[in-house]
Amino acid sequence: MTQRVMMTGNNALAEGAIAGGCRYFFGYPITPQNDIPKYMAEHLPEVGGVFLQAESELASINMVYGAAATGAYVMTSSSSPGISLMQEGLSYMLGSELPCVVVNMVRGGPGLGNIGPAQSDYWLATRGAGHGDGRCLTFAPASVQELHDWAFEAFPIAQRYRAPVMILGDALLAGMSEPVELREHREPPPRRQEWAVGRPREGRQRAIVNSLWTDVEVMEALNQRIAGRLSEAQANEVRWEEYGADDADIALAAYGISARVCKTATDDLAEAGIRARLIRPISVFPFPVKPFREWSQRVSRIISVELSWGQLIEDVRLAVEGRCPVDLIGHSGGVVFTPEEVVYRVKELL
Amino acid sequence: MSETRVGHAEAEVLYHRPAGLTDVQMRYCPGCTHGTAHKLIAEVVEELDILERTVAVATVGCSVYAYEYFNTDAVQAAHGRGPAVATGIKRVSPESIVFTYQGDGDLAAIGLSEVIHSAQRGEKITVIFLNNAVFGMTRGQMAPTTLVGQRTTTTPLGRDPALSGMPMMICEMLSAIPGVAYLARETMIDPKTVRSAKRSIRKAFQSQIDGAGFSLVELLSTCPVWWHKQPLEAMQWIRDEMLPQYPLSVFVDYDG
Amino acid sequence: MKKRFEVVINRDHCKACGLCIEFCPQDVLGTSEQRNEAGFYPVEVKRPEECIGCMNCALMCPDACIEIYTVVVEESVKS
Repeated sequence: MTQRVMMTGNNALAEGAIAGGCRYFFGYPITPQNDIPKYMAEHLPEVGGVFLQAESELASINMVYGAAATGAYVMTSSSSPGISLMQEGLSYMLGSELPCVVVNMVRGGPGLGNIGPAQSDYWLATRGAGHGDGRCLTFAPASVQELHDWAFEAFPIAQRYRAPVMILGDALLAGMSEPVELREHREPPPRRQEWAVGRPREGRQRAIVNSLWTDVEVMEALNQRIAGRLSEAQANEVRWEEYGADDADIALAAYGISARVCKTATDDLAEAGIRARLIRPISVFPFPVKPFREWSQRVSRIISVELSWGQLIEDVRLAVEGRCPVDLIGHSGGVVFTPEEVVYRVKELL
Repeated sequence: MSETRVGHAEAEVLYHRPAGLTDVQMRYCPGCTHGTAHKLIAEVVEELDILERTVAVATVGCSVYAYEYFNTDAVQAAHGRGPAVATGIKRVSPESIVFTYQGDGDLAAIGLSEVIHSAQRGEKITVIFLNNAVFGMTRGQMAPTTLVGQRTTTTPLGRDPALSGMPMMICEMLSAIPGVAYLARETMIDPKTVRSAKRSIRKAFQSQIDGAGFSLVELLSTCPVWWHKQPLEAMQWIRDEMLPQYPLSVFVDYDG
Repeated sequence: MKKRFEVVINRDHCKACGLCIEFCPQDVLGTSEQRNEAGFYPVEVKRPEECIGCMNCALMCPDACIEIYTVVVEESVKS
């Protein structure tokens, strides 16, 4: 019997992860995600899991790396400045073909920034998995329920593609309360992956988890393998949602908390006689190219509405391939749109 | 008198290449005591009968290929992060015997936070710390453990404490931490010190088997190439120059 | 019956560091005149009968090139 409760985004995400089989969490305090390690500290031991507060984000991601090397369902969470510190670790995870889940509750930046909501880590999430080729699969929930559900689903996805999965939230989603239907708990599978270390030896070959390949052709083969899996993800893991007019004149591109605002703005625009279609990427890598390609042939412009100065818009432009103008409505540093503001700025652009 | 030669199969093995080493030739320079340290670790894990459940964490430096030499499961860690990686492995798999193998750049420079916090947590891992007072792999820069007056590529006139501080005393620092179960500084410059080093390495791994806490063995080691010395000269330099700065000692022994 | 000791050196892995020669108390070991594949003149056993099985060479070798066997020697008398 499913339970329906009011929860904050942070707590719903943490509960979703545990329900999905996460048993290991290594993390460090940073606002606005501190309730995630708190929840993990309180509830992981109840399911036989391990919570450890590390000495830094750098140590956290490396503990995740070690745990991931054993095949375990492991995660960490942080916010923008801490994610920057984790980029080296993400590169190592990709290069060593290891799965894990990383949560980024994005805050105002750059630099120390502030604790307001932002979407200015889009590049970091979709491009910035440290040095080298390879990207994190990245999903952008837009509600507390979606945070819960994506945390539940992320672990087997990470295992399938042997890569980090990043869940992109923000300071508003992290702290707001909404009703959540809770998923039933499931156990993680036993650690039997043939690449995993620390399993009983039982006559098997020793397992080596490594990303150092001085033979350049072997290194290239690794990169091709990684690219191959990411291609597979592009075929199978694309998610998006559309809302609004079927006969729209314009389209809005927005994800996460921006999309929540834009949903209301779409209704308000309709009342003002402007037919708008909201295209909400849920997977931001792999990016939902298809709806943008199709809608760019039907609308007069597409407007990227994001809490940044222009990151999502680049992927929109790539998908649109010049078929229609693409504009930006942006905010940054923790400032958030109201629906009224979005309507006003859309009208200004038209 | 004639001799009946009984073949090797019937001869008693007095010393064999340890099972803890693979057949891969170690790439270290001639006379570099990295190889000696690998050999001792390999002997210990075989003798303690933990070979099948040992996981090696290779780190960055001359020993970056350690995962090719130890006949165990292995994980390559980023520079300095070995103890954090080892923590992740050990927390998931406490029945594994997890050790890191780190040079002085890896442990005492970039990785200082990770090793201190692992000790602070009493993390049940074993750290083997090769101190040769220089960054070897990157061609001879100053390390935190470089001696005063020692010439390196980044201290061409010799290390000046006014610019770069004094050499870092890792064992002395860690000896204040309650979570440490076994802590010793050894070297491998003659048969006596090699045997002593092996004893400490064995005690360190035993302390992990016993779940007693964090263990670390600092091994004063040679770097013939970047010290610009022949192997034997390098051994003598340890005796004459390093020992006065880094005295050999067992600092913490959970069992003693 | 007496024992003697046989020192076996992996000449392909030997890097001619000289430590085993230096620490052998019995002058059992010396340098070969034949280079190995890597270009080193590896160590070889020169005076096997002098070995007392102290294992200093195996202890000091950084490349674990040395194995040592105890060989039982049978004496037979010519009739």
